[in-house]
Amino acid sequence: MANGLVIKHKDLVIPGQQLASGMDYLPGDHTYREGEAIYAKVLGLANLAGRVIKITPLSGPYQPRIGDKIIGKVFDITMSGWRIRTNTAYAAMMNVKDASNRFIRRGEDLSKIIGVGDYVVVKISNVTSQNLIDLSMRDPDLFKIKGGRIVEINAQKVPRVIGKQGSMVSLIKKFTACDITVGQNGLIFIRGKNPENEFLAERAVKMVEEKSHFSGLTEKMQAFLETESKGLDLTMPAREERSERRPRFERRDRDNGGDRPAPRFERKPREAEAPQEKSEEPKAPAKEGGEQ
Amino acid sequence: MAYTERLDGRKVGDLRPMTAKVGVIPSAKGSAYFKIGNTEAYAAVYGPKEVIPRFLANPKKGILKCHYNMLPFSGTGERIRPGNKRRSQEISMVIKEALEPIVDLEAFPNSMVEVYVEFPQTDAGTRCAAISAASLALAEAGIPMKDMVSSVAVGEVDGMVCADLTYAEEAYPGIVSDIPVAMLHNSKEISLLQMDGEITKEALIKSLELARDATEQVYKVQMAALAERYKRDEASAPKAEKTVEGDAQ
Repeated sequence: MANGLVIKHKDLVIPGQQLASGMDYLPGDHTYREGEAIYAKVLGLANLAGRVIKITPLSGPYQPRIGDKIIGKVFDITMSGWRIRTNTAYAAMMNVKDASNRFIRRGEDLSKIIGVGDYVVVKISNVTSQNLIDLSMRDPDLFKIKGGRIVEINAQKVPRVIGKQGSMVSLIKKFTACDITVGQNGLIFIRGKNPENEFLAERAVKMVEEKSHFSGLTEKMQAFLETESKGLDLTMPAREERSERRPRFERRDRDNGGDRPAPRFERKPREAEAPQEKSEEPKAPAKEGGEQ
Repeated sequence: MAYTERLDGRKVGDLRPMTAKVGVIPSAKGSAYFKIGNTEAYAAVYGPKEVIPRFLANPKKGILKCHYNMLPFSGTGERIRPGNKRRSQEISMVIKEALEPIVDLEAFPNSMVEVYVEFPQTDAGTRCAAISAASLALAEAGIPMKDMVSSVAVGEVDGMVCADLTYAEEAYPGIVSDIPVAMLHNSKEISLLQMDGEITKEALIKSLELARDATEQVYKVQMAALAERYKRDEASAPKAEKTVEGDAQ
Protein backbone atom coordinates (compact mmCIF):
# COMPACT_ATOMS: atom_id res chain seq x y z
CA MET A 1 0.00 0.00 0.00
CA ALA A 2 1.26 3.41 -0.92
CA ASN A 3 2.30 5.84 1.74
CA GLY A 4 0.02 8.72 2.36
CA LEU A 5 -3.32 10.05 3.32
CA VAL A 6 -6.52 8.28 2.51
CA ILE A 7 -8.78 11.11 3.64
CA LYS A 8 -8.86 14.88 3.29
CA HIS A 9 -8.80 17.61 5.93
CA LYS A 10 -12.28 18.11 7.49
CA ASP A 11 -13.63 14.85 6.10
CA LEU A 12 -16.20 12.99 8.14
CA VAL A 13 -14.70 9.74 9.35
CA ILE A 14 -16.30 6.81 11.10
CA PRO A 15 -14.78 4.45 13.68
CA GLY A 16 -12.39 1.99 12.13
CA GLN A 17 -11.97 4.00 8.97
CA GLN A 18 -8.44 4.13 7.65
CA LEU A 19 -6.96 7.63 7.68
CA ALA A 20 -3.46 7.10 6.34
CA SER A 21 -1.01 4.39 5.53
CA GLY A 22 2.71 4.30 6.03
CA MET A 23 4.83 5.96 8.70
CA ASP A 24 4.73 9.49 7.24
CA TYR A 25 1.83 10.47 9.46
CA LEU A 26 1.40 10.31 13.21
CA PRO A 27 -1.75 9.27 15.08
CA GLY A 28 -3.19 12.13 17.17
CA ASP A 29 -6.26 12.33 19.41
CA HIS A 30 -8.97 9.70 18.86
CA THR A 31 -6.93 7.72 16.36
CA TYR A 32 -4.76 4.63 16.63
CA ARG A 33 -2.06 2.94 14.65
CA GLU A 34 -2.23 -0.70 13.77
CA GLY A 35 0.54 -2.08 11.66
CA GLU A 36 1.41 0.56 9.11
CA ALA A 37 -1.95 2.25 8.99
CA ILE A 38 -3.73 4.84 11.10
CA TYR A 39 -7.40 4.37 11.89
CA ALA A 40 -10.15 6.50 13.39
CA LYS A 41 -11.47 5.68 16.82
CA VAL A 42 -14.56 7.91 16.93
CA LEU A 43 -17.08 9.49 14.64
CA GLY A 44 -15.83 12.97 13.81
CA LEU A 45 -14.07 15.33 11.48
CA ALA A 46 -10.50 14.57 10.47
CA ASN A 47 -8.03 17.27 11.36
CA LEU A 48 -4.60 17.54 9.82
CA ALA A 49 -1.95 19.45 11.68
CA GLY A 50 1.34 18.93 9.88
CA ARG A 51 2.11 15.25 10.13
CA VAL A 52 -0.34 14.62 12.92
CA ILE A 53 -3.82 13.37 12.15
CA LYS A 54 -6.41 13.86 14.84
CA ILE A 55 -10.17 13.77 14.98
CA THR A 56 -12.56 16.38 16.28
CA PRO A 57 -15.36 14.25 17.69
CA LEU A 58 -18.93 15.21 16.87
CA SER A 59 -20.36 13.56 19.93
CA GLY A 60 -19.25 11.68 22.96
CA PRO A 61 -18.89 11.90 26.69
CA TYR A 62 -17.24 14.78 28.51
CA GLN A 63 -13.64 14.13 29.51
CA PRO A 64 -12.98 16.02 32.76
CA ARG A 65 -9.84 18.19 32.72
CA ILE A 66 -8.18 20.26 35.40
CA GLY A 67 -9.18 23.90 35.20
CA ASP A 68 -12.44 23.37 33.37
CA LYS A 69 -15.41 25.39 34.52
CA ILE A 70 -18.40 23.10 34.74
CA ILE A 71 -21.94 23.11 36.07
CA GLY A 72 -22.95 20.38 38.47
CA LYS A 73 -25.83 19.33 40.65
CA VAL A 74 -25.42 18.58 44.32
CA PHE A 75 -26.84 15.17 45.12
CA ASP A 76 -25.38 14.41 48.52
CA ILE A 77 -23.77 16.10 51.47
CA THR A 78 -21.06 14.36 53.47
CA MET A 79 -19.08 15.27 56.61
CA SER A 80 -16.46 17.07 54.63
CA GLY A 81 -18.28 18.52 51.68
CA TRP A 82 -20.68 18.08 48.82
CA ARG A 83 -20.99 15.32 46.25
CA ILE A 84 -21.85 16.67 42.84
CA ARG A 85 -23.13 15.11 39.62
CA THR A 86 -21.12 16.42 36.71
CA ASN A 87 -22.85 14.95 33.67
CA THR A 88 -20.17 12.28 33.50
CA ALA A 89 -20.21 8.74 34.78
CA TYR A 90 -18.27 9.88 37.81
CA ALA A 91 -19.47 11.80 40.86
CA ALA A 92 -17.32 14.73 41.93
CA MET A 93 -16.47 15.98 45.39
CA MET A 94 -16.27 19.53 46.64
CA ASN A 95 -14.55 19.92 49.97
CA VAL A 96 -15.82 22.42 52.55
CA LYS A 97 -12.62 24.43 52.33
CA ASP A 98 -13.02 24.77 48.56
CA ALA A 99 -16.63 25.87 48.70
CA SER A 100 -16.34 29.41 49.89
CA ASN A 101 -13.99 32.17 50.86
CA ARG A 102 -16.05 32.56 53.98
CA PHE A 103 -14.93 30.64 57.03
CA ILE A 104 -17.24 27.70 57.60
CA ARG A 105 -17.38 26.74 61.24
CA ARG A 106 -16.95 23.16 62.38
CA GLY A 107 -20.31 21.45 62.64
CA GLU A 108 -22.10 24.05 60.58
CA ASP A 109 -25.11 22.79 58.65
CA LEU A 110 -23.72 22.46 55.13
CA SER A 111 -27.16 22.06 53.58
CA LYS A 112 -27.88 25.69 54.53
CA ILE A 113 -24.95 26.80 52.38
CA ILE A 114 -25.56 24.58 49.36
CA GLY A 115 -28.49 22.23 49.54
CA VAL A 116 -29.14 18.92 47.86
CA GLY A 117 -30.51 19.58 44.38
CA ASP A 118 -28.77 22.94 43.94
CA TYR A 119 -26.80 23.63 40.80
CA VAL A 120 -23.36 25.16 41.15
CA VAL A 121 -20.85 26.65 38.76
CA VAL A 122 -17.53 25.15 39.80
CA LYS A 123 -14.00 24.61 38.60
CA ILE A 124 -12.23 21.26 38.40
CA SER A 125 -9.22 21.39 40.67
CA ASN A 126 -8.04 17.80 40.26
CA VAL A 127 -8.79 14.67 38.25
CA THR A 128 -7.32 11.25 39.02
CA SER A 129 -6.55 8.45 36.59
CA GLN A 130 -9.79 6.82 37.65
CA ASN A 131 -11.63 10.01 36.75
CA LEU A 132 -12.41 11.00 40.32
CA ILE A 133 -13.03 14.73 40.30
CA ASP A 134 -12.26 17.41 42.88
CA LEU A 135 -14.12 20.68 42.58
CA SER A 136 -13.64 24.18 43.86
CA MET A 137 -15.96 27.16 44.08
CA ARG A 138 -13.52 29.72 45.43
CA ASP A 139 -12.89 31.77 42.31
CA PRO A 140 -14.92 34.97 41.90
CA ASP A 141 -16.62 33.72 38.74
CA LEU A 142 -17.98 30.61 40.45
CA PHE A 143 -21.27 30.60 42.25
CA LYS A 144 -24.37 28.77 43.31
CA ILE A 145 -27.13 29.04 40.73
CA LYS A 146 -30.42 30.68 41.63
CA GLY A 147 -33.34 30.84 39.23
CA GLY A 148 -32.93 30.59 35.48
CA ARG A 149 -32.77 27.32 33.64
CA ILE A 150 -30.27 24.63 32.78
CA VAL A 151 -29.93 23.41 29.23
CA GLU A 152 -28.02 20.27 28.43
CA ILE A 153 -26.09 19.84 25.20
CA ASN A 154 -23.43 17.48 24.00
CA ALA A 155 -20.14 18.40 25.66
CA GLN A 156 -18.28 18.17 22.36
CA LYS A 157 -20.37 21.07 21.04
CA VAL A 158 -19.39 23.44 23.86
CA PRO A 159 -16.53 25.13 21.96
CA ARG A 160 -18.97 25.95 19.18
CA VAL A 161 -21.52 27.42 21.60
CA ILE A 162 -18.81 29.66 23.04
CA GLY A 163 -17.39 30.54 19.64
CA LYS A 164 -14.09 32.18 18.84
CA GLN A 165 -13.25 34.41 21.81
CA GLY A 166 -16.80 33.94 23.02
CA SER A 167 -18.30 35.38 19.83
CA MET A 168 -21.25 33.02 19.69
CA VAL A 169 -22.22 33.22 23.33
CA SER A 170 -21.93 37.01 23.41
CA LEU A 171 -24.13 37.20 20.32
CA ILE A 172 -26.81 35.15 22.04
CA LYS A 173 -26.41 37.23 25.19
CA LYS A 174 -26.81 40.43 23.24
CA PHE A 175 -30.00 39.40 21.46
CA THR A 176 -31.71 37.70 24.38
CA ALA A 177 -30.47 39.81 27.29
CA CYS A 178 -29.78 36.63 29.18
CA ASP A 179 -26.97 35.74 31.46
CA ILE A 180 -25.36 32.64 30.03
CA THR A 181 -22.80 30.49 31.76
CA VAL A 182 -21.47 27.64 29.67
CA GLY A 183 -20.08 24.68 31.56
CA GLN A 184 -17.46 22.64 29.73
CA ASN A 185 -19.43 19.51 30.62
CA GLY A 186 -22.32 20.55 28.39
CA LEU A 187 -24.62 22.08 30.97
CA ILE A 188 -25.54 25.66 30.24
CA PHE A 189 -27.11 28.05 32.72
CA ILE A 190 -29.43 30.61 31.18
CA ARG A 191 -31.09 33.32 33.19
CA GLY A 192 -33.05 36.14 31.67
CA LYS A 193 -35.55 38.73 32.75
CA ASN A 194 -38.50 36.68 31.64
CA PRO A 195 -39.15 33.18 30.32
CA GLU A 196 -39.49 34.32 26.69
CA ASN A 197 -35.89 35.53 26.63
CA GLU A 198 -34.73 32.30 28.22
CA PHE A 199 -36.64 30.23 25.69
CA LEU A 200 -35.06 32.10 22.83
CA ALA A 201 -31.59 31.65 24.29
CA GLU A 202 -32.31 27.97 24.81
CA ARG A 203 -33.44 27.56 21.21
CA ALA A 204 -30.35 29.39 19.99
CA VAL A 205 -28.10 27.11 22.01
CA LYS A 206 -29.90 24.03 20.72
CA MET A 207 -29.52 25.34 17.20
CA VAL A 208 -25.77 25.66 17.64
CA GLU A 209 -25.66 22.09 18.92
CA GLU A 210 -27.68 20.87 15.96
CA LYS A 211 -25.69 22.71 13.32
CA SER A 212 -22.27 22.73 14.91
CA HIS A 213 -20.64 21.11 11.90
CA PHE A 214 -21.83 23.83 9.48
CA SER A 215 -19.64 26.73 8.53
CA GLY A 216 -20.81 30.32 8.78
CA LEU A 217 -22.88 29.50 11.81
CA THR A 218 -22.37 32.88 13.49
CA GLU A 219 -23.97 34.71 10.55
CA LYS A 220 -26.89 32.29 10.51
CA MET A 221 -27.31 32.75 14.24
CA GLN A 222 -27.26 36.53 13.88
CA ALA A 223 -30.04 36.39 11.29
CA PHE A 224 -32.05 33.96 13.39
CA LEU A 225 -31.74 36.05 16.53
CA GLU A 226 -32.52 39.32 14.76
CA THR A 227 -35.87 38.03 13.58
CA GLU A 228 -36.71 36.12 16.72
CA SER A 229 -35.78 38.71 19.30
CA LYS A 230 -38.28 41.28 18.06
CA GLY A 231 -40.66 42.30 20.77
CA LEU A 232 -38.49 41.01 23.59
CA ASP A 233 -37.45 43.12 26.53
CA LEU A 234 -33.74 43.42 25.95
CA THR A 235 -32.62 45.12 29.12
CA MET A 236 -30.16 43.05 31.05
CA PRO A 237 -31.22 41.69 34.40
CA ALA A 238 -29.65 43.48 37.33
CA ARG A 239 -26.43 41.96 38.57
CA GLU A 240 -27.88 41.45 42.03
CA GLU A 241 -30.43 38.98 40.78
CA ARG A 242 -27.97 36.86 38.90
CA SER A 243 -26.57 34.72 41.58
CA GLU A 244 -25.92 34.43 45.19
CA ARG A 245 -22.44 35.78 45.76
CA ARG A 246 -21.07 35.30 49.15
CA PRO A 247 -19.11 38.26 50.49
CA ARG A 248 -15.74 37.60 52.04
CA PHE A 249 -15.81 37.10 55.74
CA GLU A 250 -14.31 40.43 56.74
CA ARG A 251 -15.15 42.53 53.77
CA ARG A 252 -16.80 45.85 54.47
CA ASP A 253 -20.06 46.41 52.75
CA ARG A 254 -19.32 49.33 50.46
CA ASP A 255 -22.98 50.04 49.86
CA ASN A 256 -23.26 51.01 53.48
CA GLY A 257 -20.38 53.41 53.56
CA GLY A 258 -17.98 50.74 54.58
CA ASP A 259 -18.60 51.07 58.27
CA ARG A 260 -20.65 47.96 58.73
CA PRO A 261 -19.38 44.42 58.45
CA ALA A 262 -20.56 42.38 55.53
CA PRO A 263 -23.80 40.53 56.07
CA ARG A 264 -23.46 36.95 57.11
CA PHE A 265 -24.42 34.28 54.68
CA GLU A 266 -27.82 33.51 56.17
CA ARG A 267 -29.01 37.09 55.84
CA LYS A 268 -31.86 37.63 53.44
CA PRO A 269 -31.00 39.37 50.15
CA ARG A 270 -31.19 43.12 50.25
CA GLU A 271 -34.72 43.47 49.03
CA ALA A 272 -34.90 47.22 49.52
CA GLU A 273 -31.92 48.00 47.34
CA ALA A 274 -32.29 45.76 44.35
CA PRO A 275 -35.36 47.35 42.68
CA GLN A 276 -33.99 50.82 43.36
CA GLU A 277 -30.84 50.09 41.42
CA LYS A 278 -32.82 48.76 38.53
CA SER A 279 -34.95 51.87 38.18
CA GLU A 280 -31.93 54.14 38.27
CA GLU A 281 -30.10 52.62 35.37
CA PRO A 282 -32.26 50.09 33.65
CA LYS A 283 -30.00 49.63 30.67
CA ALA A 284 -26.84 48.97 32.61
CA PRO A 285 -25.34 46.01 30.80
CA ALA A 286 -24.39 44.15 33.90
CA LYS A 287 -20.71 43.61 33.18
CA GLU A 288 -20.96 42.21 29.69
CA GLY A 289 -19.23 38.94 29.12
CA GLY A 290 -18.59 38.34 32.77
CA GLU A 291 -19.50 34.75 32.40
CA GLN A 292 -19.05 32.33 29.60
CA MET B 1 -37.10 -30.98 -5.25
CA ALA B 2 -34.09 -29.19 -4.04
CA TYR B 3 -34.32 -25.51 -3.26
CA THR B 4 -33.14 -23.93 -6.52
CA GLU B 5 -34.80 -20.54 -6.51
CA ARG B 6 -35.25 -18.39 -3.43
CA LEU B 7 -38.79 -17.79 -2.25
CA ASP B 8 -38.52 -14.02 -2.69
CA GLY B 9 -36.58 -14.22 -5.94
CA ARG B 10 -33.25 -12.98 -4.58
CA LYS B 11 -29.89 -14.24 -5.79
CA VAL B 12 -27.91 -16.31 -3.29
CA GLY B 13 -25.65 -13.45 -2.18
CA ASP B 14 -28.36 -10.79 -2.14
CA LEU B 15 -29.53 -9.32 1.12
CA ARG B 16 -33.02 -8.03 1.69
CA PRO B 17 -33.39 -4.26 1.10
CA MET B 18 -31.73 -2.32 3.92
CA THR B 19 -32.44 1.10 5.41
CA ALA B 20 -30.34 2.68 8.14
CA LYS B 21 -30.77 5.96 9.93
CA VAL B 22 -28.81 7.45 12.78
CA GLY B 23 -30.02 9.83 15.48
CA VAL B 24 -33.63 8.69 15.65
CA ILE B 25 -34.05 8.95 19.43
CA PRO B 26 -33.24 12.49 20.56
CA SER B 27 -32.90 11.83 24.27
CA ALA B 28 -30.41 9.00 23.81
CA LYS B 29 -26.70 9.74 23.51
CA GLY B 30 -26.71 7.78 20.30
CA SER B 31 -29.38 5.91 18.42
CA ALA B 32 -30.00 4.10 15.17
CA TYR B 33 -32.73 2.50 13.13
CA PHE B 34 -31.81 -0.47 11.02
CA LYS B 35 -34.24 -2.24 8.73
CA ILE B 36 -33.49 -5.30 6.68
CA GLY B 37 -36.47 -6.72 4.84
CA ASN B 38 -39.28 -6.88 7.36
CA THR B 39 -36.99 -6.87 10.36
CA GLU B 40 -36.78 -3.46 12.00
CA ALA B 41 -34.50 -2.60 14.90
CA TYR B 42 -34.20 0.52 17.01
CA ALA B 43 -31.04 0.83 19.05
CA ALA B 44 -30.39 3.45 21.73
CA VAL B 45 -27.18 4.03 23.63
CA TYR B 46 -26.95 5.71 27.03
CA GLY B 47 -23.85 6.52 29.01
CA PRO B 48 -21.08 6.17 29.99
CA LYS B 49 -22.72 6.41 33.36
CA GLU B 50 -22.42 5.19 36.92
CA VAL B 51 -22.55 1.41 37.23
CA ILE B 52 -25.67 -0.01 38.86
CA PRO B 53 -25.43 -2.33 40.75
CA ARG B 54 -22.21 -0.93 42.08
CA PHE B 55 -20.40 -4.22 42.64
CA LEU B 56 -20.24 -4.77 38.88
CA ALA B 57 -17.99 -1.75 38.45
CA ASN B 58 -14.54 -2.56 37.18
CA PRO B 59 -11.78 -0.07 37.96
CA LYS B 60 -9.75 -1.22 34.96
CA LYS B 61 -12.35 -0.97 32.23
CA GLY B 62 -15.93 -0.03 31.55
CA ILE B 63 -18.74 -2.48 31.08
CA LEU B 64 -21.20 -2.83 28.27
CA LYS B 65 -24.80 -3.77 28.94
CA CYS B 66 -27.15 -4.86 26.20
CA HIS B 67 -30.88 -5.32 26.27
CA TYR B 68 -32.64 -7.09 23.43
CA ASN B 69 -36.40 -6.99 23.25
CA MET B 70 -39.10 -7.86 20.76
CA LEU B 71 -42.24 -5.80 21.16
CA PRO B 72 -45.47 -7.74 21.87
CA PHE B 73 -46.92 -7.09 18.41
CA SER B 74 -43.69 -7.59 16.47
CA GLY B 75 -44.08 -11.21 15.43
CA THR B 76 -46.41 -12.83 12.96
CA GLY B 77 -49.57 -11.95 14.86
CA GLU B 78 -49.25 -14.03 17.97
CA ARG B 79 -48.73 -11.74 20.93
CA ILE B 80 -45.22 -12.02 22.32
CA ARG B 81 -45.37 -11.97 26.09
CA PRO B 82 -43.47 -8.89 27.27
CA GLY B 83 -40.66 -9.15 29.72
CA ASN B 84 -37.39 -10.94 30.04
CA LYS B 85 -37.17 -14.40 28.59
CA ARG B 86 -34.47 -17.00 28.37
CA ARG B 87 -34.24 -16.30 24.67
CA SER B 88 -33.88 -12.53 24.95
CA GLN B 89 -31.39 -12.94 27.79
CA GLU B 90 -29.24 -15.15 25.63
CA ILE B 91 -29.45 -12.83 22.65
CA SER B 92 -28.62 -9.83 24.85
CA MET B 93 -25.51 -11.69 25.92
CA VAL B 94 -24.39 -12.61 22.40
CA ILE B 95 -24.97 -9.02 21.23
CA LYS B 96 -22.81 -7.80 24.07
CA GLU B 97 -20.07 -10.26 23.18
CA ALA B 98 -20.29 -9.30 19.53
CA LEU B 99 -19.84 -5.62 20.37
CA GLU B 100 -17.17 -5.90 23.07
CA PRO B 101 -14.26 -6.43 20.66
CA ILE B 102 -14.84 -3.08 18.99
CA VAL B 103 -15.59 -0.86 21.99
CA ASP B 104 -12.57 0.68 23.71
CA LEU B 105 -13.69 -0.21 27.21
CA GLU B 106 -10.47 1.01 28.86
CA ALA B 107 -11.52 4.56 27.98
CA PHE B 108 -14.20 4.64 30.64
CA PRO B 109 -13.21 2.71 33.78
CA ASN B 110 -15.75 2.26 36.57
CA SER B 111 -18.64 3.10 34.32
CA MET B 112 -21.05 1.44 31.95
CA VAL B 113 -22.60 1.98 28.55
CA GLU B 114 -26.09 0.70 28.01
CA VAL B 115 -27.43 -0.44 24.66
CA TYR B 116 -31.12 -1.06 24.18
CA VAL B 117 -32.44 -2.72 21.05
CA GLU B 118 -36.18 -2.93 20.41
CA PHE B 119 -38.00 -4.57 17.53
CA PRO B 120 -41.33 -3.24 16.33
CA GLN B 121 -41.40 -5.83 13.57
CA THR B 122 -39.47 -9.04 13.02
CA ASP B 123 -38.87 -11.52 10.24
CA ALA B 124 -35.76 -13.55 11.08
CA GLY B 125 -32.27 -12.19 11.56
CA THR B 126 -33.07 -10.07 14.60
CA ARG B 127 -29.81 -10.58 16.45
CA CYS B 128 -27.93 -9.58 13.32
CA ALA B 129 -30.05 -6.47 12.87
CA ALA B 130 -29.53 -5.71 16.56
CA ILE B 131 -25.76 -5.85 16.24
CA SER B 132 -25.68 -3.72 13.10
CA ALA B 133 -27.99 -1.13 14.70
CA ALA B 134 -26.10 -1.13 18.00
CA SER B 135 -22.81 -0.59 16.22
CA LEU B 136 -24.27 2.47 14.50
CA ALA B 137 -25.77 3.81 17.71
CA LEU B 138 -22.47 3.40 19.59
CA ALA B 139 -20.66 5.30 16.84
CA GLU B 140 -23.16 8.13 16.97
CA ALA B 141 -22.88 8.28 20.75
CA GLY B 142 -19.18 9.04 20.34
CA ILE B 143 -18.07 5.96 22.26
CA PRO B 144 -14.43 5.23 21.33
CA MET B 145 -14.43 2.21 19.03
CA LYS B 146 -11.64 0.63 17.08
CA ASP B 147 -13.87 -0.62 14.29
CA MET B 148 -17.44 -1.10 13.12
CA VAL B 149 -19.16 -4.45 13.34
CA SER B 150 -21.66 -5.58 10.72
CA SER B 151 -23.82 -8.61 10.99
CA VAL B 152 -25.99 -10.76 8.78
CA ALA B 153 -27.14 -14.37 8.73
CA VAL B 154 -26.07 -16.93 6.17
CA GLY B 155 -27.10 -20.53 5.82
CA GLU B 156 -28.02 -23.47 3.74
CA VAL B 157 -31.62 -24.03 2.70
CA ASP B 158 -32.16 -27.52 1.37
CA GLY B 159 -28.85 -27.62 -0.45
CA MET B 160 -28.50 -23.94 -1.40
CA VAL B 161 -26.06 -21.74 0.45
CA CYS B 162 -27.53 -18.26 0.68
CA ALA B 163 -27.33 -15.02 2.64
CA ASP B 164 -29.84 -13.30 4.89
CA LEU B 165 -32.53 -15.92 5.37
CA THR B 166 -36.13 -14.87 5.89
CA TYR B 167 -38.43 -16.63 8.32
CA ALA B 168 -40.04 -18.51 5.44
CA GLU B 169 -36.65 -19.87 4.43
CA GLU B 170 -35.75 -20.80 7.98
CA ALA B 171 -39.00 -22.76 8.16
CA TYR B 172 -38.49 -24.40 4.77
CA PRO B 173 -39.32 -28.09 4.82
CA GLY B 174 -35.99 -29.79 4.36
CA ILE B 175 -32.54 -29.48 5.89
CA VAL B 176 -31.97 -25.86 6.81
CA SER B 177 -29.11 -24.23 8.68
CA ASP B 178 -29.17 -20.65 9.90
CA ILE B 179 -25.84 -19.09 10.85
CA PRO B 180 -25.83 -15.54 12.19
CA VAL B 181 -22.39 -13.99 11.68
CA ALA B 182 -20.99 -10.68 12.93
CA MET B 183 -17.75 -9.49 11.41
CA LEU B 184 -15.38 -6.65 12.21
CA HIS B 185 -14.81 -4.55 9.15
CA ASN B 186 -11.03 -4.11 9.12
CA SER B 187 -9.70 -7.32 10.57
CA LYS B 188 -12.55 -9.50 9.29
CA GLU B 189 -12.58 -11.13 12.71
CA ILE B 190 -15.79 -12.91 13.56
CA SER B 191 -17.40 -11.70 16.79
CA LEU B 192 -20.61 -13.71 16.56
CA LEU B 193 -21.06 -17.17 15.13
CA GLN B 194 -24.01 -19.33 16.04
CA MET B 195 -25.86 -22.03 14.23
CA ASP B 196 -29.27 -23.57 14.16
CA GLY B 197 -29.91 -26.74 12.12
CA GLU B 198 -27.37 -28.93 10.38
CA ILE B 199 -24.75 -28.34 7.70
CA THR B 200 -21.80 -30.10 6.08
CA LYS B 201 -18.25 -28.87 6.55
CA GLU B 202 -17.99 -27.80 2.91
CA ALA B 203 -21.25 -25.86 3.01
CA LEU B 204 -20.20 -24.16 6.26
CA ILE B 205 -16.96 -22.95 4.72
CA LYS B 206 -18.88 -21.76 1.67
CA SER B 207 -21.41 -19.93 3.89
CA LEU B 208 -18.67 -18.15 5.79
CA GLU B 209 -17.09 -17.02 2.53
CA LEU B 210 -20.49 -15.64 1.60
CA ALA B 211 -20.78 -13.94 5.02
CA ARG B 212 -17.62 -11.95 4.33
CA ASP B 213 -19.23 -10.38 1.29
CA ALA B 214 -22.67 -10.04 2.92
CA THR B 215 -21.36 -8.18 6.00
CA GLU B 216 -19.50 -5.86 3.66
CA GLN B 217 -22.83 -4.91 2.10
CA VAL B 218 -24.21 -4.14 5.56
CA TYR B 219 -21.10 -2.06 6.33
CA LYS B 220 -21.70 0.11 3.25
CA VAL B 221 -25.23 0.87 4.45
CA GLN B 222 -23.94 1.67 7.95
CA MET B 223 -21.25 3.97 6.60
CA ALA B 224 -23.76 5.82 4.43
CA ALA B 225 -26.10 6.27 7.40
CA LEU B 226 -23.37 7.89 9.51
CA ALA B 227 -22.33 10.15 6.66
CA GLU B 228 -25.95 11.18 6.18
CA ARG B 229 -26.26 12.18 9.83
CA TYR B 230 -23.57 14.83 9.57
CA LYS B 231 -24.08 15.81 5.99
CA ARG B 232 -23.00 19.39 5.44
CA ASP B 233 -25.55 20.02 2.80
CA GLU B 234 -26.01 23.76 2.70
CA ALA B 235 -29.39 23.32 1.02
CA SER B 236 -30.71 21.59 4.11
CA ALA B 237 -29.69 24.42 6.41
CA PRO B 238 -32.31 27.05 5.45
CA LYS B 239 -34.98 24.39 5.52
CA ALA B 240 -34.14 23.53 9.08
CA GLU B 241 -34.26 27.19 10.04
CA LYS B 242 -37.69 27.51 8.55
CA THR B 243 -39.04 24.79 10.79
CA VAL B 244 -37.64 26.61 13.80
CA GLU B 245 -39.49 29.72 12.74
CA GLY B 246 -42.61 27.69 12.15
CA ASP B 247 -42.51 26.53 15.75
CA ALA B 248 -42.65 30.08 17.01
CA GLN B 249 -45.75 31.07 15.12
